[in-house]
Amino acid sequence: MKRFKRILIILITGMILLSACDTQSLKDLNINPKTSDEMDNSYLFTYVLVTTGGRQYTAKRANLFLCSTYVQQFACLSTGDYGAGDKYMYNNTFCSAYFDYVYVEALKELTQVINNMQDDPDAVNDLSMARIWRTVIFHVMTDLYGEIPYSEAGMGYLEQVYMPEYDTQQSIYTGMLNELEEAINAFDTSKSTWGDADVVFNSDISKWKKFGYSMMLRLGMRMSKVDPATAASWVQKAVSGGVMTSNDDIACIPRSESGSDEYNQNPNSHVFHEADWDEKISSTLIDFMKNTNDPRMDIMFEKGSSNTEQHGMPNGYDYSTIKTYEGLASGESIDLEIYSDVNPLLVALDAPQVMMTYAEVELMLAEAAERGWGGVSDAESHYKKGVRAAMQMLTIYDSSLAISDATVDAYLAANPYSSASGLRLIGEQYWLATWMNFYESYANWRRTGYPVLTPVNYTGNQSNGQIPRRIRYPSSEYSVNSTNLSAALASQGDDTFTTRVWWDVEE
Amino acid sequence: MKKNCSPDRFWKYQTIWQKLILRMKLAGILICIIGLTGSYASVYSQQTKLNLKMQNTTVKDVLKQIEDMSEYSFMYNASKIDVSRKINLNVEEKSVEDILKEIFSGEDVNFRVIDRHVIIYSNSEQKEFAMQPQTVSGKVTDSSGSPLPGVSIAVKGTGKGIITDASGNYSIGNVPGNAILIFSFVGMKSQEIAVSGKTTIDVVMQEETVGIEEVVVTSLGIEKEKKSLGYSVTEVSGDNFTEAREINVANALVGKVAGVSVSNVATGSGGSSHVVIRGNTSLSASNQPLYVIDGIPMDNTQIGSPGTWGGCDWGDGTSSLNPDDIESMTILKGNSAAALYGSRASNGVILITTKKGKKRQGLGIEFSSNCVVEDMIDYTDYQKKYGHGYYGEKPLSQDEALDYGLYSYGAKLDGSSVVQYDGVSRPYSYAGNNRKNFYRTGSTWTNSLALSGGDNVHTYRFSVSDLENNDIVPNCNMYRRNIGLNVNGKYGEKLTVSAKIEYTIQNISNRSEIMDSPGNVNYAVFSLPPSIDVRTLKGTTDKLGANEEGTELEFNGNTYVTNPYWSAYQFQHRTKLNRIITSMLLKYDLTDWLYIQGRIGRDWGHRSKNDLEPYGTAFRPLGQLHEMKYIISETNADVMLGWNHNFNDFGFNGFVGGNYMRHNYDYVSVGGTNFNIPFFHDVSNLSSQSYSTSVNKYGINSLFGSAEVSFKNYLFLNLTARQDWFSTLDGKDVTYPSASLSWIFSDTFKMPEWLTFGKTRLSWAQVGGGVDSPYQTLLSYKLLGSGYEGETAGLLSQTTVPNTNLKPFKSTEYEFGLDVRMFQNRLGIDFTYYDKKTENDILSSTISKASGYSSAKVNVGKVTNKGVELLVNLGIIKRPAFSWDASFNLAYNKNKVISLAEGIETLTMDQSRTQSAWLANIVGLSYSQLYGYKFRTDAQGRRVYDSSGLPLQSTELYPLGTGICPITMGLNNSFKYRNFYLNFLIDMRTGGHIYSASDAYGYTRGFHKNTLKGRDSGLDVAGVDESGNSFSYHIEPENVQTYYQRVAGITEEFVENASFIKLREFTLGYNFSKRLLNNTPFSDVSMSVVGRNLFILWRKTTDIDPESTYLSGNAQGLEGFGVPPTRSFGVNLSVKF
Repeated sequence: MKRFKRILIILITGMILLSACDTQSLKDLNINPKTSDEMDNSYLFTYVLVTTGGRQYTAKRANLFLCSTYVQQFACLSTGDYGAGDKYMYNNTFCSAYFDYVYVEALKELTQVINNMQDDPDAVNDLSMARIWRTVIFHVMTDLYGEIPYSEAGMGYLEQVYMPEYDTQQSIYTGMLNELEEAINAFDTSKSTWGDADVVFNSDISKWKKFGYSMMLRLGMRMSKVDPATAASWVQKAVSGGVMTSNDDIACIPRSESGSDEYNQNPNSHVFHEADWDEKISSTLIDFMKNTNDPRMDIMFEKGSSNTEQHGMPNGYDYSTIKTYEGLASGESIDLEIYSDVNPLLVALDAPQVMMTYAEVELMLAEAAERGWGGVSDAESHYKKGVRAAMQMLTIYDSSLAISDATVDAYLAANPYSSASGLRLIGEQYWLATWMNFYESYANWRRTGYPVLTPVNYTGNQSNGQIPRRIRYPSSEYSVNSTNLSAALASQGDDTFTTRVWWDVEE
Repeated sequence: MKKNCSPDRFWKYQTIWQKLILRMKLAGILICIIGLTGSYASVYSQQTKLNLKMQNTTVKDVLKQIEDMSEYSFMYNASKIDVSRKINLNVEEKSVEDILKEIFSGEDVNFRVIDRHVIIYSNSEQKEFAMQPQTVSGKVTDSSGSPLPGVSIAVKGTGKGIITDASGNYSIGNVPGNAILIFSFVGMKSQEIAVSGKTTIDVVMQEETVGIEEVVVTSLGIEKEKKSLGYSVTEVSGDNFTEAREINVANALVGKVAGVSVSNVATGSGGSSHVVIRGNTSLSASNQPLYVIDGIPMDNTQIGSPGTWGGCDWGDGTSSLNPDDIESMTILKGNSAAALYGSRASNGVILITTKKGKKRQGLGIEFSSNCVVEDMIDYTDYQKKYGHGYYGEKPLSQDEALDYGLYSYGAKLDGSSVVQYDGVSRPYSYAGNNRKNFYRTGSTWTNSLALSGGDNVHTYRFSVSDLENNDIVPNCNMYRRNIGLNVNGKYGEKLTVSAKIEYTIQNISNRSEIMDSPGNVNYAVFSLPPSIDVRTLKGTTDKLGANEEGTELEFNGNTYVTNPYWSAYQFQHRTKLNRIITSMLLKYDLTDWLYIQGRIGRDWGHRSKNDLEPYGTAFRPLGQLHEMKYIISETNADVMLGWNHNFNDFGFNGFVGGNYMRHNYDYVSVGGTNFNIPFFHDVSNLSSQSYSTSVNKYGINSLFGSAEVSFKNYLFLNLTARQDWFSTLDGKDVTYPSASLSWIFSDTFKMPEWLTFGKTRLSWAQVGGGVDSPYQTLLSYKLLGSGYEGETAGLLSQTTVPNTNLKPFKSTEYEFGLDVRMFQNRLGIDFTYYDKKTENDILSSTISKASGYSSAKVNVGKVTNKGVELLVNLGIIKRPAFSWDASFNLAYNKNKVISLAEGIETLTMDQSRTQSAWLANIVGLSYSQLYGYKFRTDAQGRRVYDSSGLPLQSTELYPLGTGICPITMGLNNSFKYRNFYLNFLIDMRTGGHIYSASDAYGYTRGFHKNTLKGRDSGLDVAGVDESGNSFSYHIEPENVQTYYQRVAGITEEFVENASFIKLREFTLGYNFSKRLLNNTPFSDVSMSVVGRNLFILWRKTTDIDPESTYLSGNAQGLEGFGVPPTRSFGVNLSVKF
């Protein structure tokens, strides 16, 4: 019995010791069966394309609540959150949205994809597409905020950079332009591509090249105020490389109504399907179109249900002050149904999400011709092509939205181009052509000053009654990345709506 | 026996003694003699008187002489009784007793006269005679004289035992005359009484004096004498949880234990409890203690809690426990106490011991019923002068009424008829207290029944409990049923087996969302302008909160603020929990000092969650539904070999063993948005369907050992070690040591009379934590479930940067304690000082989103907690009829964040929905700092205004005070007067702050009283402008709204001192006296009136309860539109058969 006991003790002790030290089963336990440690780069690239520009949350806040009202394409009476853009008020989540979501939801994966393919000579085409797309993401970001983390961005895992430094916008532009050039030059038609995973151009290398050069044109042109010489040289490179040549070249992300509303539906459209959406078309836009008898007006917008004509809402008004504007007695209340709304076809949940259009490219070429840059000539011809392309591209939303050549001709005849007011005319048309891509409308307005917009001056606004020149940094950067942010503020200026980004020099 | 049977002859044959027959005979006689003295009235001895006159005669001859002259015969053992002694005797007319008394006076000799027989014996002989089995009976009472049923009486050294009946009587047969009986009863001092031949033994049981010989449960379920412990341990007995009870039993610890801080979420029924012992040790890992039930760790997972964007608190592991099954909770506060739990010990451990059956006669039945009503406490003092509107104007149309939303910046209430959101005009006057009109009186009714009993081999306890609760939030109801069975057996001398199963069903319908809207009933109820009556929001149809079409009746233009009736009655937030906690233990005594024990247990829970935003909800017109299932389980198995041996003055005990732990979390969710067919709320009807699944598995393998050496039972040294191997660290291991010393100086030296007991303790231990999240070491990918346009889309599954070098954090604590009792335990003081340091804390450091990730786990944090704990027990009055005991506890914890990651001074923990207040850990300050904007001022402290007279917020964020109260106090008083008893507990917290988002919204929307200033005649502000020049400005009345809305973004305006004193518990009861129960089947009946949170005696907050946090995690200090606090009162009935 004694011996039995002794054996029992030894056995049990031995078993405990053995099982405690069995680290392999513990290691196996730490592998998540729901995930994979490998993923096809093409799957990641699709994801990046889909999430660029943020999901509904970001699109609603940055694109629609801020940018669209800054450039007076939409207006809103609210004095609460929703009116923050219309009235130049500060709203932290609106200002933070693009920064907080796009880095995490698109740039993280893109950085990983680029890292995965960096040294793979067979993946050179895929790598180039990814790199061109990288500039699409960063370009919007830097134009919104100015200095941002660029060279160290997205490196949380790869380089353990948790607090990336901010780069000056000048160096970001240099970096983006060089990257575009390198990426375009690296295309090799003898090598494979990832095919359908590229939902934008279906891996059509020639379209990617045109898109890359068009981006180069856009970036180059953006420096027209701050550094005309460099701007001109990049415009030159872009033009000689070959930019978009027709509406078939438009860069857009196709969207669908089925599937996940967050990922598959158009994020810009989504807000128009929400019950409390109360932005209306700005009177600045409606009046402009009325004055020019723009054939797009009745295609893009629909009259308010209690109105017989298109009627825009003025920016910078609230429920109380609007009464005076509309000539109501103080005892009457405002009827929101007198104001024009968007044609629902343009904001269908499956409407394509436009990133860059041929119309913009032609208008930029017209500007280049006016400036005598890049060997481009005949501004008027480019202008007309741009206007025609802009009017006729609405069919990408729905074939019923076609505008005939004759209608375009009539418009162009009624609103003739003149070189003397060329930059203004181009700027105005660019404003119209970048519909729904308000990031671009807003950036181009800051660069060119066109169309001439009258800022609102609502009590309590935080931009000295001027249209903001940038949006403010997210408050999370203050609490988390304060050292690097401080350096950026020291270099760029205070984090206010009135501080200008590098290329937006005051003239 | 014949007359001539000479004693000499009789005693002569010593061998005959051993003959059974004689033995029986003698025994028979002796039992008669000793047991029934007095009952044999001897007529002969009373009547016979003798005359004797003898000089210098031996005793022997004297006796012979008596035999000759009477019918008496004497029996005695000549070897024991000295009969050769010579005496003088001169008696006349004396009875034989008197004569014998005279003969043997001064001798160690007794005699008994039975009729004509006289037995003479020495006292030493009496004991030998008494060895003969006999029946012992008697009555057991308590100190007040009431009979005690259920007292167990064991014959020492045998398996024999019995239990007193309902009247406290017992009778135990066949007891050796020299046996020792052990009387024991819970809460009473055990007594050992020698039978010494007695056949009637009445016993008065004495209540156990707290502490000195107290045995407490320690780590791994090992019972130890409290005096041997070198660290602080507090035991809270089960009756603390059953009278003035809480639904979540952890909440009942409030104010009871020094150093244990409890906060509960302002969420109504079934919410979580946040318990922190001795301050927060980790910056980002959980700071909640490990709960262990009967030796098996419990799962305390929360399946969702509200945050910045609102949501429900979905409860935790403690919210479904049955308080009636709890025998006691033992709180292992410090690292040393908990050290044997190694990497799970850094936050202390709460050991829950459940009730077990006891050996008794028949079936023990206990029934209790507790019925309380709950009433809202409305702390608000909102303005009642200005009505719905904007910039001083009333709404003029239904559209305006909707557009003006929840704003109370309208005109002065004048009783005029003003159109409201529904197009109906109502008087523009104060519509009454919307809180009172919306919330209902809640109620909780708990019924519990326990059956228990046992014999020498088995004991059992079976319990059922039913709880029905109606929350104060309309349509929020809960029921909980607990069924438990606990069986213990001792087979033979060596094998002990115990097994337990507890099954819980808990269903909660429509928990309230809190903080942000939509779906939060409280949000709208608290924000409504004073001129709108919440009851009108019910609508006119039977469907509450709906309009004629059956969709949400909107009452403001912001669809994200949901109609509270729609939220309460049409939204669904349902949970169902099925939980089984089982455990089994086998213990085998290998020798009398060595045992081996194996134990296995599992806490398995299936939770389902149903979250519906119905069709027709304004902000989501087509609706949304998610159905979620969780299976969460934790399995623990341990084996240990233990010893307990004494050599002279030294005692050695300890054990070595191993533990195997696996934690599994399985989650499936189906759901989606947009119902195709209106109002048909099923997943199949969703046009956009989605699903998700996830698993979370981790495990720890451990070895542990503990060794204690004691000297003379006054000096104890205890060393422990545990080694843990972690799955979450890919198999890496860490060792956790501890050492503790306990010295009972009052047993070492002679102490003054007034010092009853004195002990000092000293300990040191290192424990760890923070490594219970798996899959953090590898980068991994997942797929976007729905794909994209036929393409597969993949993404990185982490938003936290994976870190392969992670290790558990280390918490090192020194503890010193002094425990003294004075004046026969009338005054007890227990003092503890501790100094705890956490290093290599794992920070889920919020990192710049520009890194691509939102957080990173890094081993960098350092936090210290130093504090004192004081417990004073006072027996102020101790009389049989009246007693007054008081117990006071006080704790102060000084917490300091020493360092965060390199270059990081601030770590954001949480943020208010107002987006203008944060909670952060900031280097050099204490945990969970409120962090936000101040008014911008110039160097002289003058406020800076912009050109419209609006104040500017500071450009930087400032710490504005910790959200955690460092000082906690509790004062419990118990009075007993005859059968009445009265207990009340007052608890106090101070030193912390709370940010009130409700108040900030009160400024934005104009319902806060402070916004009245300036509405009539405008507001004058004075200070400096942005260039520093002095500045003054008159804000017109219509613009004061803009002013207050600007102030709403300035954090410091809404940071309030969260100190308070509350009357937490109140019990007034009556124990029916035994006399009254004599002719009833009941053995014990008590009734009490109970109350919880009855009054707040002192507070510094204005419109909110200082405890109304909506957070259940580490971050504490944010308030926002929670379910209002309640006071509850009712009756408790407890009956025993």
